[in-house]
Amino acid sequence: MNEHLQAVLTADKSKTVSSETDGKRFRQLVDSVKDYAILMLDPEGLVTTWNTGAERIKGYRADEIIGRNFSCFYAQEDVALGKPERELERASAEGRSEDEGWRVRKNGTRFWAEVVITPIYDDDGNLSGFGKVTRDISSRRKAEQKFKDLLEVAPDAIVIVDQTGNIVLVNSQTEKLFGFARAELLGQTIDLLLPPRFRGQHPSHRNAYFAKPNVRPMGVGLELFGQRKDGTEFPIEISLSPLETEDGTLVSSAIRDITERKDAEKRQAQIEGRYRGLLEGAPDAMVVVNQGGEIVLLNLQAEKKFGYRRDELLGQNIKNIIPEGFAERMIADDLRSAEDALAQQIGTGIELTGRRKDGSEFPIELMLSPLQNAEGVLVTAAIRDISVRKVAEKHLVRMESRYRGLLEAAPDAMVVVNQGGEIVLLNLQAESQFGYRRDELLGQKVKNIIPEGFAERLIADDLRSAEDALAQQIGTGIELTGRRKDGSEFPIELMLSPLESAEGILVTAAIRDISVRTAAEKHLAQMEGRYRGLLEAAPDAMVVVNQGGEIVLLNLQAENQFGYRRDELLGQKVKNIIPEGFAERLIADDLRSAEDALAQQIGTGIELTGRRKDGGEFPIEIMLSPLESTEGILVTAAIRDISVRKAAEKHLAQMESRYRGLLEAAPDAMVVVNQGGEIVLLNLQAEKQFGYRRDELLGQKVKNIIPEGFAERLLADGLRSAEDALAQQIGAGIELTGRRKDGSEFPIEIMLSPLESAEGILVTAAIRDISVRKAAEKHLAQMESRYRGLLEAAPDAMVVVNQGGEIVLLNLQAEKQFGYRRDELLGQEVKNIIPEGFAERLIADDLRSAEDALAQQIGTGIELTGQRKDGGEFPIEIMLSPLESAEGILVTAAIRDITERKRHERTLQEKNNELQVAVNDLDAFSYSVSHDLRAPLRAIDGFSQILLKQYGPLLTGEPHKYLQRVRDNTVQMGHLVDDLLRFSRLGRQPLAKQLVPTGTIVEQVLREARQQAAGRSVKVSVGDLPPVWGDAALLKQVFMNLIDNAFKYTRLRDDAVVEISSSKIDGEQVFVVRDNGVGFDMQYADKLFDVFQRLHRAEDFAGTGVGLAIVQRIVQRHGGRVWVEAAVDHGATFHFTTEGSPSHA
Amino acid sequence: MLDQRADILLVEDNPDDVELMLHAFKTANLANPVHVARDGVEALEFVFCTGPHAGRSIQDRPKLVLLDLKLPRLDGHEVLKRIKGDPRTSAIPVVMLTSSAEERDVMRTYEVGANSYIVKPVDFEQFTESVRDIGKYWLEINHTQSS
Repeated sequence: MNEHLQAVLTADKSKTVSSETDGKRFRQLVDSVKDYAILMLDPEGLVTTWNTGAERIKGYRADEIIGRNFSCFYAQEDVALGKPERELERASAEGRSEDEGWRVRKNGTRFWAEVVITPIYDDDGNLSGFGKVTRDISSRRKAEQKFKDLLEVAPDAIVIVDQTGNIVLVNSQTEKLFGFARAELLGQTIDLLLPPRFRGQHPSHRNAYFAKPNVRPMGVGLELFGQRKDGTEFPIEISLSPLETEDGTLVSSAIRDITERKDAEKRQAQIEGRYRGLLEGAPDAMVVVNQGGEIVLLNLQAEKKFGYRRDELLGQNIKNIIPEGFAERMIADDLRSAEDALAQQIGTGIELTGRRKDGSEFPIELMLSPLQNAEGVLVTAAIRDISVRKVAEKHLVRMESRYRGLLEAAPDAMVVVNQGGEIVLLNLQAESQFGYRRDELLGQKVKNIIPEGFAERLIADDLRSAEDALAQQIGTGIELTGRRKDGSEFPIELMLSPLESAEGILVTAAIRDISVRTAAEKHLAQMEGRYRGLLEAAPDAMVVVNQGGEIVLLNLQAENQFGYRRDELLGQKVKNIIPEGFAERLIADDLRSAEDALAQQIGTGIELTGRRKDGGEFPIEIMLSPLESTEGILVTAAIRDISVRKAAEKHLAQMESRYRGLLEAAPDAMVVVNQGGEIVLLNLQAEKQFGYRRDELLGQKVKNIIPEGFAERLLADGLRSAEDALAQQIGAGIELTGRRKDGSEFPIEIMLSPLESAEGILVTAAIRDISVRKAAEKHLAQMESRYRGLLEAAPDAMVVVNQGGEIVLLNLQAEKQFGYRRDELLGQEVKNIIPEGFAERLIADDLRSAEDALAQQIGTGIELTGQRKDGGEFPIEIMLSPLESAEGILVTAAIRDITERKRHERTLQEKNNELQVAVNDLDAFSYSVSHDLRAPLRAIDGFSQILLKQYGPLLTGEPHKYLQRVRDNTVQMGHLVDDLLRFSRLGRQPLAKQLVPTGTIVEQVLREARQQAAGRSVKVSVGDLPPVWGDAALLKQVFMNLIDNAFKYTRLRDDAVVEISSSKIDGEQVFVVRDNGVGFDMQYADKLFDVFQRLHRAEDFAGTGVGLAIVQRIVQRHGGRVWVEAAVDHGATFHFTTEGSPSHA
Repeated sequence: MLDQRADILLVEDNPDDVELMLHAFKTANLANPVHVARDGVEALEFVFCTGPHAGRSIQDRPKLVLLDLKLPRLDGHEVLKRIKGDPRTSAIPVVMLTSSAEERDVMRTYEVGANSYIVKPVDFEQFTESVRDIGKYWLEINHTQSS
């Protein structure tokens, strides 16, 4: 820094050895130097020489300063400390004295100087004086100071480090950030600020940087940390820049604490993670679609629902899975912006069809929400498979869409809150009032936007039911505070109403922003407090103007509104604050009286502009009134600032445009009709439905399309006000007929609603084409009437009972049977007419579900007792059947009065008893027959035998033969008695059923038969005989009788053949016994099975005539049949079946 | 006939049947003494030595009782029950005589201890055969037991 100075001094020194000429030249040189003050002092410090530079820098002329002590150049405090003297002493002692410090000019001002004092010796080596060189370095110092200041105010910690890593400079931020004092850092190694674990690598990083110094962020991609004096760490970001100085290259590091940013990033990542989790965890398929209609994101459900893998769907066009034209509508096209496209779709409840990978389709419901991101607006579609609930919700969705329209049209913010305090529904106003997007509010706790403890009160707690909670709040008009998304608060008023829904009672809260009103009220209250005068109480600026157009009186509002103090306005021309030519008109001129002037203006509704003192303009509305006074007629002007109203109007216009969107999106034809019955507005549906173009309908009389006198009723007539006309129609649900342009008519349903507008009350008519519904209803009505007919025609009493056990439907028979009128039974508990505990069983109880209750009763035919209105009871039988209905499962009970049947049953029982007595008598008779008839027979036979044996030789010829006849007859009669007894016993004897091996018993029977027929040649063949279910002894009797017959009637054949076989015919096991005997004439076949009926003479073929009767009775007792085919001399074939077959076992 | 000692007690009310039965015994060469009781009461008086038979020793048991089911006063079933119900007499073989196999009471007699039964056939030859077989059989058995 001192090279220049040194040169000067060296030159100065050389003077001592130069010639006089040289000395003169040198003096000239020194004199000409302007940047340095160069002077000489004598040994005492008195000035001996003075150059131009000295004069310029210090302000003294040579003649003023030469001879004075140089201490006058020093600041007073330095002089007081003896600094000038010390400098000279040091220069003498050390050969040189350098200093940097404040010096003083002649005029007293200070400058920062760099001073070098050198002793001058004469040739003898004695001190002859001092050379002094001074340089003004104020500007350089200023620059340095500025740099330091800059360093200090930098928002980041700045640490300057030299190549060895020592700290050479820090700013106050560094002190704050690291908690060290500046002095503790300067000269220390930078490692002091690093966490120990980084210190090892730091020198090598530093060396690398110095090898190639440039401006760059440090440790890109690394997480950097600083360490405070107290040992705590914190994340940092460092920017490095090299700093070239005379001491070599330094590094300036700007260190930023990024703790907060890191936290924010961490939070962001958490949120992102949560969002992803939410997406994946969502019960619906979620796809995010870009403007190109391509799927950019989806969740697991989307994969599952549509049967694709994730990679198959990503990048795919959404219309591939939502095929029916809806996907396209999600996307903005030439006619609509993305937002409009969305607005039209969200919540419209259009039913759509999703298509799986395998091509199958299923009904879906879409919920769309826009998602603004760097790629533009994305559409998030939540796709729900609604197969199951689609039918049930169809109606609901329609209602919902109507309700939503109403909700959105509401002027207040509307939020619907569930029992959990969460917002489940809201409207546009709620979004705009609270500054949230819809999706941000849905599911949010309502207390987040209504913070002052009120939200909680909406919800039922332990002490109150939901209804009580509501009742306490509705209409209380408590003023509360709402909180916007940005945290700002505003006064609100809440109106609550309960809303029954499937989810329980919801709370609908209408939230009105009363900021403006509150502010106004507050101000008014102040006004009233301060002033009692009518003028001051006026809400508008009031100025009273005289005939000269000068303001003679005004109120506070006028001051406020126009920004003037009262005294500034008084006496001022009114046209200064109402500049646009209106003010003049207030004043009577040559052409008009004051009254005329006024009359022209009042209520004209001209929009004017007021001008404030600061020149700002604002919309105003003026109301004038004349005021008689001693000064003549004054004009009182009430000036209203309508800024707020204008803003409101603007808002209204926006609403209008939104409303337009809603109107067009409506599923019904919508026409807005004015008081003249003319259509002033309509939507696309109206065009379509009636077949007109929009321009054909606008201005047309509404009665042209709604011809049957209804249109007229929309309008007020002489007898009714517009309101009355409306009130009569709204919700009347009258079915009408619409007429298309082509003259064709179709059934319609109209819903009316009044619409306040600037043009008066308009009527909005929503016209729905109900052709399809009418057809459906007609069909339903037919069905209903048919069903009704069936019900009434039923021979039994029919009552339909609901789950509550109440009768909901009944027929004429029910009235008759129970003696009640229909209206007495409807709604009555069914147990009142079916008293014996049965009715209760119809109803599900704790132990059984409704279905089980039914299942237990249906078809059981339990006999019960019904009770008539008169208390009389009668036996009934109930048949139940379930009936699915919209109200749940109903029970249809067919109740039959079985009084008559019971009587028949009783009679039958009596007859049965009588019959049993007769049977018992018969039994006793049979017993005596068997016992008592046989005894005399036995006696006859016995004694005849004894006669024959003992007296046989005495009886010859006829007597012997006759005795033999007696014996034969008694034996025959014995057989008859036995058979008859057996036959009669067959009717009563219980069957001991078991699986009977018919093959085995036939063998036994044949064995006996062959023994009896010993000596005869009979060819017997036995087929395959399956076992059957029956009484073994009785079936053996059947085979025995038939086989005995077969043998008996083939007695005369030499080639007798008996065949026993069995076969299955039409599922019945038929046994056959065939012979080739004498047979019989089929015309007597019907007598064959009667008792004592014989077709042959006893002398030809012995028999009692009971055998086949026994066969028939046994077969019948087994539930089978027996029949015969025969021809005279061609044998007989007997067939029989038995009821059971082996499979029944 | 009213012997104090009898090997066979015939309980039968029908005099024809009694006649035929005795004839059958004779025909079958059964020489055992026979006592005939005409009803159930008489039968029990004989077996238990009461009434007109009070002097008889109960030890002199008949070797066979032929008991008709249907009897005046006390029927055969009741008589059978009394005989089989008393330890002193329960070992006496009792053969029931019935008019028909169809009679419902036949099976009941087995339950109370009847040893056999004979259906009295209308055919006298068969009847005689049956009586002879039964008589021989049971008298033989009884003889074996007592010896």
